Amino acid sequence: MHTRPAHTANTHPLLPRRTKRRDWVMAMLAAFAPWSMAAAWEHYPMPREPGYGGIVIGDFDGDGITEAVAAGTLSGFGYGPDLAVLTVIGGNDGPPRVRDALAPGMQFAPGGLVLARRTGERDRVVGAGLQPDGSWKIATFGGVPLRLERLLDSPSGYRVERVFAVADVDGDGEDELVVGLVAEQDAWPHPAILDGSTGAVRWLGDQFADSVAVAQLDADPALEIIVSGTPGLVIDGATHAVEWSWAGGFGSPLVSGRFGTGHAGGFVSVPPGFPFFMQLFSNHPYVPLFEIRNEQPTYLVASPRGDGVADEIAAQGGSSVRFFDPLTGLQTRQFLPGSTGPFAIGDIVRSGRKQLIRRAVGDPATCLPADGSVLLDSEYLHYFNFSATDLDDGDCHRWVGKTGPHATVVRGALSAPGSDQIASFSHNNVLTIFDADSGAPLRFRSGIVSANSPPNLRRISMLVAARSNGTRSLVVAAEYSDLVALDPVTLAKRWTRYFGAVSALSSIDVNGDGFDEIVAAGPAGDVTVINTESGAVLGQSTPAGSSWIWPELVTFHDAQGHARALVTSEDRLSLDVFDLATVTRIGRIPTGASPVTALWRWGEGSGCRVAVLDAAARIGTRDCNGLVELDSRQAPPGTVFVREADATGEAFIVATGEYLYRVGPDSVAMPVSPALGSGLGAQNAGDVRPLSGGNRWDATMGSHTLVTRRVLAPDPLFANGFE
Amino acid sequence: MRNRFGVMLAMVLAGWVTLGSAQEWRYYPPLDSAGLGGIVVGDLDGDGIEEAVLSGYASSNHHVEQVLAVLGGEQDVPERLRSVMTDDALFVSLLAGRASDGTGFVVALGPWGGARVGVYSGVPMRRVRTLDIARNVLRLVAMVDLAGVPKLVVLVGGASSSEYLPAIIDFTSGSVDWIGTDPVHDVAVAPFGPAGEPKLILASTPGRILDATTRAVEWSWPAGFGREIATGRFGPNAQPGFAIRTDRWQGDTDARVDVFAGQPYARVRSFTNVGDVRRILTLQESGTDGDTVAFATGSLPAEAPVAAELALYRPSTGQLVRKLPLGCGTPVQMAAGKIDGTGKPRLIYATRRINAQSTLCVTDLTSGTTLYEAANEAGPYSAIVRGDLAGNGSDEVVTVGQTKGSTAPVIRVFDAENGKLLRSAVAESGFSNIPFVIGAQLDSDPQLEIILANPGPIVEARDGRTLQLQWLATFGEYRSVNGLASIDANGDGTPDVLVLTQESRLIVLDGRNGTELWRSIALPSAQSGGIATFKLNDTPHAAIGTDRGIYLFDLTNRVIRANRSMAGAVVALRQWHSDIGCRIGVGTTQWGNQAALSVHTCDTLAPVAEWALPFTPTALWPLGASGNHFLLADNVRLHELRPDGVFATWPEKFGSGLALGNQGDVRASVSRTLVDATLGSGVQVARVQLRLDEIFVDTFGGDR
Repeated sequence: MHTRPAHTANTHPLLPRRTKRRDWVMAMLAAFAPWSMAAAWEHYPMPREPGYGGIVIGDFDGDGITEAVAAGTLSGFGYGPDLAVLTVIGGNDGPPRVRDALAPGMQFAPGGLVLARRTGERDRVVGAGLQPDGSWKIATFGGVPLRLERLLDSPSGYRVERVFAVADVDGDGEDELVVGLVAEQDAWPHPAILDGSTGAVRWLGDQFADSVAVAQLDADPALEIIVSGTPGLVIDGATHAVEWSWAGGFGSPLVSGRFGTGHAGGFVSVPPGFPFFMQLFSNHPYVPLFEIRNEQPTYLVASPRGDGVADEIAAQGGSSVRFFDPLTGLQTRQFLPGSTGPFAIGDIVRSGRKQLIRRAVGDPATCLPADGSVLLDSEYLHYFNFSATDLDDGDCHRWVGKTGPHATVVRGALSAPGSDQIASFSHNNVLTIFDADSGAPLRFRSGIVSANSPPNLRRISMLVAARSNGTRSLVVAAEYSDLVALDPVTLAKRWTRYFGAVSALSSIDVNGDGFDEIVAAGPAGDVTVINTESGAVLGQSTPAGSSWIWPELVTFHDAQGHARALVTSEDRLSLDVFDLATVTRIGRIPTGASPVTALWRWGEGSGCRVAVLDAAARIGTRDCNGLVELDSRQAPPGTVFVREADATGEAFIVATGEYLYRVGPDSVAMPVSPALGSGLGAQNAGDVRPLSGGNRWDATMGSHTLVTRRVLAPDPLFANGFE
Repeated sequence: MRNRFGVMLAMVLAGWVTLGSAQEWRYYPPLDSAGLGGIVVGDLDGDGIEEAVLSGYASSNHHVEQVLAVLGGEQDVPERLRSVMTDDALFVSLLAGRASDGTGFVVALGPWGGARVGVYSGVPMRRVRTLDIARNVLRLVAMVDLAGVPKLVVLVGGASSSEYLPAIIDFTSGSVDWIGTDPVHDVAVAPFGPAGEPKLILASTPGRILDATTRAVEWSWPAGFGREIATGRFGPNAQPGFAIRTDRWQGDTDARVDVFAGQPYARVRSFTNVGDVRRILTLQESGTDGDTVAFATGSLPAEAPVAAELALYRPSTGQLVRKLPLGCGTPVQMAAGKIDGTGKPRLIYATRRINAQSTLCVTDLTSGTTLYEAANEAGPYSAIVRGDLAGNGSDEVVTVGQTKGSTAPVIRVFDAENGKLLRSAVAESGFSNIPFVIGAQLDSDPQLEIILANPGPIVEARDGRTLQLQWLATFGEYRSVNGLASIDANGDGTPDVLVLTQESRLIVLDGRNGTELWRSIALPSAQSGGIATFKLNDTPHAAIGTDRGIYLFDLTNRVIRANRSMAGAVVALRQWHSDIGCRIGVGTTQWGNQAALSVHTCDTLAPVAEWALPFTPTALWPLGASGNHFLLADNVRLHELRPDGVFATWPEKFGSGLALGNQGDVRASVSRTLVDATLGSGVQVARVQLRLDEIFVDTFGGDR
């Protein structure tokens, strides 16, 4: 389990002015730290396709210990943009763990992150990021928590689609950016050197190059730029003169390192169009030294072995990572099976040894979950593994990549009466149970609902249903999938029913037997009542229409004790009222001019209220008896999550963007959390409980980057500070 | 130890050799599928000795072209291929004719499709006429003279693709005189009329005989005529008649041959239970009892030669005259003729085996002795070495052809003066790619060694005189070969052998025993390249070409000293000493680029001159030392690049694959006006004398 002081994440990377202000404020507030409570914790899931956008190892927080930064994706596989999630992985005092995550709102090319290192400064991560507006910018990240420190525009008329290196290539004491520069209306990158400060073009190569490396290959202070293509080129970083060309060409991947005798520089390339060979080239005077046959890696890394010893060549290709001595071409250590994608080698656990950090397919079974949780079942998990393997003793830790947002959380007595655990269901069909107090991941499994491989589920619903024997069932539904009831302890499936699709779930005692039934809203606005124990259908309404509208749903008992359901209508401008005993529509209540986006019910009997959130972020409160709107207030635009701040319903806790706010009756929204990541409270999912004493709330929430439990408290400095 | 071959070559390239005694000759190696498209006989050169004309294939590095070949002997010269020509044609059907002046000619179908035929004559054979025909022709049958007008009897297509209709084509205009309406299997022409008027015999059911002029049906045979018709004169009166072969399953359960003759027509003999008759022909025998009918029997096809035989029967008596073994197997095509100086009848026949191997054979029809046998080979025969191989002071020429499949190629040694085949041996191995051959002195005896590299790579060194294997080097994994050269790389006084493999890896073998001394890293490449060896500052070097550039290896220090990118793939590379130092000529392809010839310095590979080429070269040779005068091969022809930049083209088409792999032997006179070239292509090995003033610019002289 990892608990991070929450204030350290209270920044908005795209708002430097506000960032500074908040840093100052947060430093001040740290004295009383209202949200730094004993039960506050943050869990950073490993993102989907972990490491796809690159893995870089460096000391990003300047503490003298190296961490890994890996770029995964939010969703992937064609479900929306593959926006990146950067995770920081390290373990200063124990096993490696995910220490932080950041979704910077941009995409990176595969393996597109590079390390920027300057003496006397902490390391940084640099990559060319595709912005939501279609532009490419050079992004610099640093620190732990990881922050976006700079966005540099591409040179006018060009787009930087890849940063190959950040280094002082001309020897003038300032770093330059070695990039792949694509001219507008063009498709292929030219190698280029950009001014590190301004991004101005210092040099633009003539030939296309999909791979470029930087190395010190001669005696002058300038570095050499090694450019892939046919011919392959070695360019002096200062004069930009071609120092050497190689008719056979340098292909991709291309990596430089201290591969020569006495730590001399060199580089390794796979000849273009020529499979199954890696060839090693020495420094000036340039000559090809030898080849390693039957190797066609897709990624190469130079792995330092200490002072005066030539770097190892680590090559990932096929189904393993292989290591070679550049002086002999001989294998230096056992091949490590598995892996597809970028990888890095370094010490991220302060062990004095090196670990191989990679997205790993086919890791050995001995590679245990890094967070200490127990894997109860698995399906498709091999698509999402990420691992750190000690190169000396083989000790391996792995993470399951999870697709966010991780907002679908429920909290309750999942293991035994009186227990307090949290279930989090991620969009790639992975269910994780956390200890509510410590945040420790306890157990997890995948393959909960039926889904195509690899799954990327949308519209997930989950609830805890009480059973007749006093235990609970976790009930999960996902769009276009089945409805599943699980034993929350063993995560074994109790029953599965396929209804075509389920839009929303609720539970309520419909028949007065003292135990809840499950109520499911179908995609066409129909309602089904299901026996919690068996999954048997007890009643089902006719669809409201032929089109699929994916309605919202709440259930309640009216003043007469009748079980009712409210379901958003086809145009979402009304609420259909269902009598759940007969499963018939008994009325329709108009809600306003703006479509309803979320419903929330709290209280029982005369205190039963329903909050109706619409697309204009207006929150209307209705009495369950009569469904008359009692009052309303304005929440920040973009609000997706609403919970009552107290039983009266005068104030609400809402999730808007990356923040939680308290919205009072006067429509004043006051932040009650730091930035918790995009996708926070998506699909109106989360658990917020008012704490005694008022003005504090115990919240369990999820976003694209984390699952957290924390105490919310207002930050008066930012009243109405939402944007 | 001295590399006499290398020294000699250098002298030649410097222009020190006189050509006074040089002779021109050509050797036509065995063809692929020779005769399977048809064999006809006629006296094409008017010397009174017939020749057999047959179609076949010539291969040149996976490119196959159909050829028309002349097979025959001369006075005191046994049967051999005397001419092989290509005409961008598919010679799918042949017939022999004789012009009014007695000149024999061959009509071949398909030079440009079925609606045009070519007429060929002479040895070497040339196309003398082209005839457009108003209808697609499927098979040529015979020439016939109708009222003094020459006509072609042919088969044309009917209503379905498998249907043949008889037709008569005017040989002068190509117009269609007549097309029959009923499908036939075959048609023949015989002078059955009282005055020898020609009649058409139609193999159909019923069998019919038509007057060739009026096409009136004169007689029919209800049982029908079978598959094949052979005409002749039978019986004591030598009455015109014909024999009909009916296939095994066409009529009875066994093949049969019926002989018809006489006026009125009558079946005079039926031969049944005579075996699995595959082909028939009639043979004019001495005596007064008319022709015999020869049945070729045997099974088809088979992996190996089967027990086939030719049985000669006399129709008048039904007696078996004699049987002859057919050692090459069951004929697919056969013809008879007096094709050598003995005047004795020979059977020329082609066989085919199930593994696509084919054999062309000539058998003495009296004794059954096989006089000529040539199993198919595949060209090109561009791998050539010329030198004093036997160490006896006489030049010899070695050639090795590309193999077909995994068949080992034949190493042939010719007398360089007259092209006489002196000796041959079968190489150890080969596989469907062009071999490379060089000569070098690898031991202490006076004869040179022949070093042969085949895909594998498999490198073998053989004694130039005995062709005995000296050493064999093989390597672990299959790679084809892109070049072969020799130089003393390790300084032991013996030339070492350098092999450039498919992946442009240079492998250096100890010339004494074939032990691998060193191998370079691979230099990305496809099926292209070239290699040249030379000394720079007394250090052995090798320049190699790949599909991306050229590289210079220091063989003593085993490092690459220089490399240079090329716009196209290198297909020919040659080194020489020019007036101003060591130079390397590089020919590159035109795939995606302009083909070019460039000249580079040997030490840095810096370019010093370049010419755009209108073709992709297969070989280049400097003429003299000026560095601006070259002979180039373009896969089929030779071109001269003159010092003034003008291209001149030698009109002869030598056949595809000419000098492929930058191989061949070219020696220029001091004046550079006469070139003595020994070259190989897909169809021939030729030693020719090129008078450069006879090379006409822009192929002005037309085809030769």
